[in-house]
Formats: sequence, C-alpha cells, structure tokens
Amino acid sequence: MNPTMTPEEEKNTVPVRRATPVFPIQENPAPATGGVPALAVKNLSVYFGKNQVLKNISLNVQSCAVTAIIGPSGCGKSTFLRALNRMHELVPEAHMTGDIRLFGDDIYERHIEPVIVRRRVGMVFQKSNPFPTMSIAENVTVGLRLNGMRDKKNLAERTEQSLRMGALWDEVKDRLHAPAISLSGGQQQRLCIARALAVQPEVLLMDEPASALDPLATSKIE
Amino acid sequence: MTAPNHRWRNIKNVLMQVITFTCAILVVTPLILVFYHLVQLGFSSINLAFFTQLPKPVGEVGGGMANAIVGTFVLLTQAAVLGVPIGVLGGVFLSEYGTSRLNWWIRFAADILNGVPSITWGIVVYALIVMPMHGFSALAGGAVLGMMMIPLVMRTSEEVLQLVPGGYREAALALGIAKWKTIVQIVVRTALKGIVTGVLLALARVAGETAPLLFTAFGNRFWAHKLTEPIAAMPLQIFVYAISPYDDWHRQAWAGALVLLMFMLVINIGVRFLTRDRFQKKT
Amino acid sequence: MKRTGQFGDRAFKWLTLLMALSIFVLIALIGLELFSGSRLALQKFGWHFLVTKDWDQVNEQFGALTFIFGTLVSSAIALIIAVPISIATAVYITELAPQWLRQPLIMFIELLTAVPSVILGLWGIFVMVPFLRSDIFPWLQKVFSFLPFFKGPIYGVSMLAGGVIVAIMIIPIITSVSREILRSVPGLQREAAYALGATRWEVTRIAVLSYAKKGLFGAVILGLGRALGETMAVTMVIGNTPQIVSSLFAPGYTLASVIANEFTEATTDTYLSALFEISLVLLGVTVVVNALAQLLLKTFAGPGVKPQH
Repeated sequence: MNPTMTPEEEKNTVPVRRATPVFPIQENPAPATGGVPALAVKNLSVYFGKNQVLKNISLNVQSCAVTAIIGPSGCGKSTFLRALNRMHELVPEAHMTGDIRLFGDDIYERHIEPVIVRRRVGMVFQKSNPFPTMSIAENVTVGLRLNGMRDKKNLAERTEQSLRMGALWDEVKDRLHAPAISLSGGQQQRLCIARALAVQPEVLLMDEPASALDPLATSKIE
Repeated sequence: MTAPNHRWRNIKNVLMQVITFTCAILVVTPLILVFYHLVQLGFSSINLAFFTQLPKPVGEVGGGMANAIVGTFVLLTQAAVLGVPIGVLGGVFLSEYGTSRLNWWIRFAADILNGVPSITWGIVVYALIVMPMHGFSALAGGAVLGMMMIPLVMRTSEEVLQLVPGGYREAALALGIAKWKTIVQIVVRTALKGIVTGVLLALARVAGETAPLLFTAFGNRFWAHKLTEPIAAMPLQIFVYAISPYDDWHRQAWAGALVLLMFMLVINIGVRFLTRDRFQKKT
Repeated sequence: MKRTGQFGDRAFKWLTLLMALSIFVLIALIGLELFSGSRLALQKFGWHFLVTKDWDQVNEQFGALTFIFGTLVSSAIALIIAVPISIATAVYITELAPQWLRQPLIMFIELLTAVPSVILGLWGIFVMVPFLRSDIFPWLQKVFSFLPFFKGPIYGVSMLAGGVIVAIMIIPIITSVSREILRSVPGLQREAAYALGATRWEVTRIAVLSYAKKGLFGAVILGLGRALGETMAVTMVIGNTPQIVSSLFAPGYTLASVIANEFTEATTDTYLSALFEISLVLLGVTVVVNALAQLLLKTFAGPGVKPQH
C-alpha cells in the first residue's frame, strides 16, 4: 500500500516555548537535510517470553519519505512497528534488545518516558479505534488537549488541517460534533489517521490501516 | 521540548495511582479487621464443648452450639436436595434447548430473583409452609434456602455448560447418540467440575443467611427430633446471642461467627483453588 | 431403537423445561403470597400506607413512611461512601496496579462478598459502633456542626452507622462488577490512547472510563439493589427506632429491619398484614432497581459480563 502522505510535513507555525531539550519534541518538524535518518534501527530483537519474534533487524528509515514494509503474514511486521513507539512495554512478557534512534535520540534510554516517544512517533492501527464517547472533533484534538492546548481557535485550525490531511474534511465539515461512531468504517479509519496527525508526529507508523476495509474506502485512504 | 503541562500530567498520573491504591486498601481493610476481631474474641472459646454441647440455660456460663452446627448441615442438605436438581436441570435447559427469546426472559427473571432480599424469601415461605403447618420447622428452613439456591445454581450451571465446546456435542450427535444422552453423559460430565463449584458456592452462600430463617426454621435451644420441628442454625444462633444482654452469649457468638466464617472461607478458597487448574482464566 | 431415543429426547427436554420454568413459578409464588398476606392492610389503609408515619400497634394504625425513609437514607449514605471507593478500587485493580498485586486483590474482594451479613453485624455492634461513638461521630459533630445532619445526641447505633455497614457490604459487589466491566473494554481503545502519548491515568480516563460509563452505572444500581434489601447487619447497628429526624446520629429503622424484628411478635392480623405490606413495598422497590441494573449491564456488554448475585 502506498499512502501519498509523507510522514513529516511543513506545518503552520504554532508559537511554542522552548525549554532545555533533553529529548526534543519538534513542534513543527522541518525535514532533516541529509545525514541523520528518521529512524535508525540496529540489531533489534524482540522476545515474547522465550519466543524470539524478531531476529537482529537493522535498517534505516529516511525522513521525508515513505517506507513500506512488506512480508508474508506472521513474519513480524506489526511487532517491528510496535517496537518503534515502545508499545511493547504494555505487554509484560515482551522484552527487546537492540538500539533504536529517532533522529539520533535513543528512544529506549532509561530516563526517556514512553509518553514523549509516542508523541513524536504516531501510530494508526489495523482496526480503526476512534473513541466512541467523543465527537469527531474531540477525537481529532484529544492528543492536543492532553498536551495542554486550550485555545479554541488553535484547536479548530488544527482540526481542519488534520482532517484535510486525512481526506475526511469535506465529508464531515458540517457535522464535527456528531459522535465518531456515526461514521462508516473507512471514515473512522481516516479519522484515526487525522487524530494521529493532529499532534504532528515526526514519524507516523501505519499498521495495515486499510486491511479491514473494502476497496473503495481503501482507495480513499491511499 | 516537552509540552508545558508535562510535569502536571505526571503528577496527576502518580496522584491517581495513590488515590486508587488507597481505596483498594480501604476495601480490603474491613475483612482483615473482622477476621482479626473474630480470632481475637472468638478463638479462645472454641473448644470441644463448643462443638458437642447444647446451649446452657439462660444465665449459666458454658455450653456450646452443637445443635446449631448440626442444624445448619440439616438445612443445607435439604436445600441441596431441592435446589441442585432443579437448578442444574434448569441450567441445562437454558444452555442446550429453548429459544433465545424464552431463554432471555428466564435468565432475566432468574437474575431478578437473585436480587430479591433474603428476608422476603423468608416471609413467602412463612406464608407458604409455616402458616399451613401451624408451626416453624426445619422443612420450612430447608425449603427457603433451597428456593434461594435455584436461580443461583441455574445461572452458574448454564454459564459452565456454555463453556463446553460445541464440537463435543456435534461429534457425539454425528455418532448417532441421542441428544439427551449427549447432554447428560458428555456435556454435563465435561462441565461437572464447574457445576459442582457453582453448587458449593451457592451452598456456602445460603449457609450464611439469617433473615430467611427467622420465620421458618426459627431456631431451637435443643435438638430437633423431627424435620417438622423448629431447628437451630448457626447464623440464627449468632444473631440471637449477639443482640442478647449476656456476656457469655456474646462470647459464644464470636466463636460461632469464627467457625461459620472459616467454613465459608474454606469452601470459597478451596473451590477457587481447585478450579484454577482447569480454567486458566487470566485477568 | 430410534423410538426410545426420541422418547428420551422429548422427555428430557420437557423435564429441563419444567425445571427452568420453576423460576416463573417462584416469582408467582412470591407475588401471590405477599399480596394475599397484605390484603388486610391494603384494604384498610390503601395508598395512605405509603405516606403515613404511624406505627401504632395498640390502635392498629400502620404506615410505611418511616421505614421507607430509613431504607432510602441508609442506602443513600451507603452509596455515597461505597461508589467512589469501589470504582476507584476497580480502576486500580484493572488498570493501575502492578501485575503481581492483581490476583491477590481480586481474590480478597471475592472473599469479601462471601462474608455473611450477620457476622459483619456482630462486628458492627461490638467493634464498629463503639469506635464510631467514641471517635468518629464526636469529630464529625465538631467539624460539621453547622449541618443539621450532625446535630443531636450520639448513641452509636444510628442511621449513619447503618449506612456505613451497608457500604461495607456492597463495596465488594460493586467493585467486582465494575472490574468485569472495565476488563471488557477492548484493548484497542487503550492502545489508541497510548499511541497518542497519554499517561496511564489519561488512558484510563479517556479510553476506559468514558467507554465503560454505562456499565459502571449498572454496577452502581446493582449495589443500590443490594443495599435496599440488606437486613441483618443493618438491624444490628441502626437502633431500630421508628422515627424521622434530620440527625444522622439518631437511630433509625428500615423496611427490612422492621420485618426482621417484629414479624414473629405481630399479635394481630392487621399488624401481621401491615408487615406483609411492608415486605411488598420492599420487594417492589428492589425488583424495579434490580431490573434496571440488569438491563443496563446486559445492554452494555454482551456475553462477556458474568451474572452477578
């Protein structure tokens, strides 16, 4: 599958305060020129209990590019993706060895919080999972509001921006406050994409987002 | 750069963990306290006399709860005789037969019955059995406990039977075995452990009931020689002793309560321990 | 051979059907006996019964208002105490506790549901009430003296004590059911929140609690149903005095307690019939509340939620 969106984009500037960066979150990430790859994976092995699922993977993902990982089912594509945003830490039996760097920063370093990593590396899942008790607009802005963005104007701007990028704006612009589950399956998945994009991640991981959808919806996402 | 509210989010995170943890402690504390006091105040009174002697006349120190202990078992036996067959067979119907509509109503009604206050059951059986018989009796006590067990056992049996894989039934039917034999000899047998568990838990549950016995079994300071006589039961005896003005009776109430609680805990823990092997349920 | 098989099948089916229908028989019996027992009182007092405070054995004037008040107030106190604690505990067990602590906590709470009411009542009379009387109630009276609830003489046995003990009785069941509800929230919802960079509590708040609102409400209503019907423990600590006053330190009387205390001592037919009618009122209230709880729980989660008793 070939999403036409690029993982990083130039965005409208939102004024931000810069504190001393320990693990910098880029508010408007500009494409890195040459040199540092977006993601540098070295000797990654993932184990579930005694079972080794990924064996010594090393690869680089370039910025401002789309990297597709293709393989037979069960070969560990999802496992690989989930290692990139520390989702394995939610599973007690999982542990991993190896090195993963996001623009040079080691994401598994001891004092780096997963919360921050996941802000910089977003994820869209195979099955769409919008929050059913929230409206469409609320779903899109949930990540922003968690991080303290309160200004209604900003939120509205970002909502429109993200929904446009998710190719959903035209279909929902006049019912932003309808519940998110009132959308069709394909629309819900695009909503999830918009939700992930709203926090402006530097890298966006997409785990077969169209696999649960019919061809028409898939083409819209693509 | 981290978001400006990041520190506050982390504080909130930890704060909520502390608060919810405190609540968990609060929930667990009463059981620990009750157990502690039961042991402290009741343990010393548990001796051979407690288990073998009848209550002494009012004012005299000593005596035991032998008749109450036996009485509880008599009542439980009757309750089982009434509640188990009806409950289990009813559960079989809900699981193996019936239409979804009828079964929905039966389940709904059973769940409602499970919520009927136990004292209401007592009154109903009073009107049903005690009044026509012109007297309190062990039969009435056994009947009320049995009736309370029916919806409980029915629902737990149904649940357990549903867990038996459909493949077993199909395989047996494909071999030409009659449906009722399939159910009895294969499905029920597979689920037997779970059914027994449900029955034991239901028995333990009704063993602790006092309110329904107040107007059915009524209690007895002596042995009941016939089932048509009033009979003593542990929860009843504990209640009567607890609200009495006599210190010695209070002491025995604590002892009785400790014995009763131990009985309930042993069954509950034992049953859960035994079923752990079979059904590996993860939280 | 086939004939006996078919006969066996039909016979067995009818047997089990009959057993299952016993549920409706039981319901009919309950309704029948309660109505026929209350007939005398229903004829004599009519609707007045529900709004009269009288409880006069001598003049044979009976009314349920005092007890309805007592049941409602003690249940309300119990809910106010129990609901936040129970749901917080359920949240802790399901979402926030370390793995090794979960099973022990769960087992503890399931054991708590097995503690008989009379044992808790015994503990209530001799341990809890004296403690409340000597330490907690005076403190409450000092700090909240401006509220009418905390004025008045302190005896120990009181409406408040009744409320507290009912709270202790219903906490385990609300916690258990809530835990099941929270557990049934799809993991995918939690993952969506985590992937956005939410903290553990935020995930719980956004993905779990909002999703589970309806089910949690059902758990609370179920707890209310239990609270309304609670008899022994309440009777032992509430003081059993028929009165309606504003002080929570004053003794009270609930529907279940008056039945427990006075049923075997009812001397006249009217008296007995009045108690039957009280039982009818209690049954009506608990059935409605329980039905509501069951509907909420059933429509929230499908086969994943266990039936609770």
